[in-house]
Amino acid sequence: MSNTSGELEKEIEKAERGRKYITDLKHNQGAIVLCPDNDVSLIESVVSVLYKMKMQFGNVILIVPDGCASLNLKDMDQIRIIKLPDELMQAVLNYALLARHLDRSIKIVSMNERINGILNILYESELVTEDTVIQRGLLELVG
Amino acid sequence: MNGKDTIWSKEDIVFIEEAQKDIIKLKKERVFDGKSIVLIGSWIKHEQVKDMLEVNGLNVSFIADNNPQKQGIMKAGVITRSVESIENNDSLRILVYGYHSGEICTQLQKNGFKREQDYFILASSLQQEKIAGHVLNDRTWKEYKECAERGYYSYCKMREIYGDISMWLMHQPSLGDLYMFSIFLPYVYGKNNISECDCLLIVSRNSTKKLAEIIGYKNIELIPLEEASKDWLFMMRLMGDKVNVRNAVFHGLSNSFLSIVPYSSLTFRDGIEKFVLGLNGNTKPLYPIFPSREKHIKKQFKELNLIEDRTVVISPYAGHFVPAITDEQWKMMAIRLKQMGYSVCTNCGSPDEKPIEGTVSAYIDLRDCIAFMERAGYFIGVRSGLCDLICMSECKKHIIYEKNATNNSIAFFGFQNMRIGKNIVEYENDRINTNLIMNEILETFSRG
Repeated sequence: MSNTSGELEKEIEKAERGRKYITDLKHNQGAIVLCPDNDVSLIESVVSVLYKMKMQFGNVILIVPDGCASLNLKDMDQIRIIKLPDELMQAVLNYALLARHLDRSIKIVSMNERINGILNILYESELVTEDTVIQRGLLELVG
Repeated sequence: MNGKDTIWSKEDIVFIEEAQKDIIKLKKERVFDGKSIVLIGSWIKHEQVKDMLEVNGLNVSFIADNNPQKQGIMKAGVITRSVESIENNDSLRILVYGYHSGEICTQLQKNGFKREQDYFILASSLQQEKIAGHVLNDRTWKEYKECAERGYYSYCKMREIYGDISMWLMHQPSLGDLYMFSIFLPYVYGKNNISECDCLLIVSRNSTKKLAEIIGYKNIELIPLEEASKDWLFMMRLMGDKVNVRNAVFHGLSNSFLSIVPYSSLTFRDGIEKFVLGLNGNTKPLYPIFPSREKHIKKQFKELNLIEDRTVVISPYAGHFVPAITDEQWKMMAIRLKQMGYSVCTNCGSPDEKPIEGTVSAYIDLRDCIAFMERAGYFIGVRSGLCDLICMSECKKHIIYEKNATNNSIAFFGFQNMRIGKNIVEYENDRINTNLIMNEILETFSRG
């Protein structure tokens, strides 16, 4: 395994760094919503849903890439925005990919196949709307 | 053979143990005295929790769920209402459990309910132990990393044997999932059948391995269920596209697809064809050809004293849910069918699956499922993975679903909705008027 484990170790190290970052946030209540993609429209949709449905999420920490130049977000009622550089974002993402299966209040909003499966085909085929994918599929809104 | 194996993961067992402890403790503290009990939690856990309460002499008043499709529905013999409709007075005690516990508690608090007074989280110690403030504790974190390491080690071993060919992880030991996956997989490789697909299929049960062999997979590896559903999935979550293995079912890596289903008209087919395989064209199912063992089946019919073209195969069991149709109802159906001149057998896939009284027990080998049904002529059964396998058989099939059951809904698993299969009549049992459905099916036989 020693010859092949380098790649794995790298990913685990990243996840460790992500875990430490989340620990330091000391965010004990409410959701952590991670938007790792440089997708302004997706992030804006997420902010709009979080704002409207804040009772379901509690005090939210929304983590977005700092590379989203056109994204002009400010903290708002119950939503704290954190912008992260790519490397740290990837580290937090690695941790969140493991932790979200135990902690459903960690949400990863991404259309990336690796993260959430092939979702775009569902709305491209008009089987569901993109809003449904974001609200129900990614943010897991119920009711 | 019912096409689905019952899965009791370690997590399920631990949940039951912890929930039982909590219920006993709450009862001792007289929390439930003179109060009505309400359940809010995982749909699939309600029956277990209700049983645990009943063992302790406690009854459930109703279930509450945020999903509108479940409201008004009976589950485990109890009516389901909306969470918002729960009256905030001191006559109720609410038990919360499952994945959405956090969100539910937030909702209950918003509505004025107080934790440890009005509502209680079952098996909460498991969650608290594992995660606090979104941070996995050291022990769980170590366990996760070890799982991922074992998964990666196993993956590397496969790479040594099979080289760079793409791998598919069928961690769910379900024949229905494997069948559905296999009728679309050739499109991914631009081929016409499974045997031409240059891939490795990793399965987690002997039954799925056997079906994979019958369908024609060239490369199949069997690994233990725990290894597939834990080690490999942890490794895949962490490694993503850095490893050449993909999930062959629509859950395990992400909940996104299943979270959309209640709010859409998506089907089981969409889950595999589009979400798993990414196919978005005019793909028509490429049905595998099952072997023909006519001699063997003829002999089996003779031994069981079954009449060719006039036998009804009853399939009352499913591994993934407990059907509402009682043994007595099946027994009455068998009596009526026999009165009409049919021979009747029960599809019994394991020693646990007893034949319906008055019918013959038939063990149908996976290889023979289509040929056996065609020789029999008729099939009546609850929706299970077996129905997928025989969906293209020439026999007349009556398939029964349970209304709004998460694991058995006609909307999601229905063949008409999926545009798959032939000679199928589908029924939706609301679990109240079951006799009407049984009579409706019998009517078709009396008409000949």
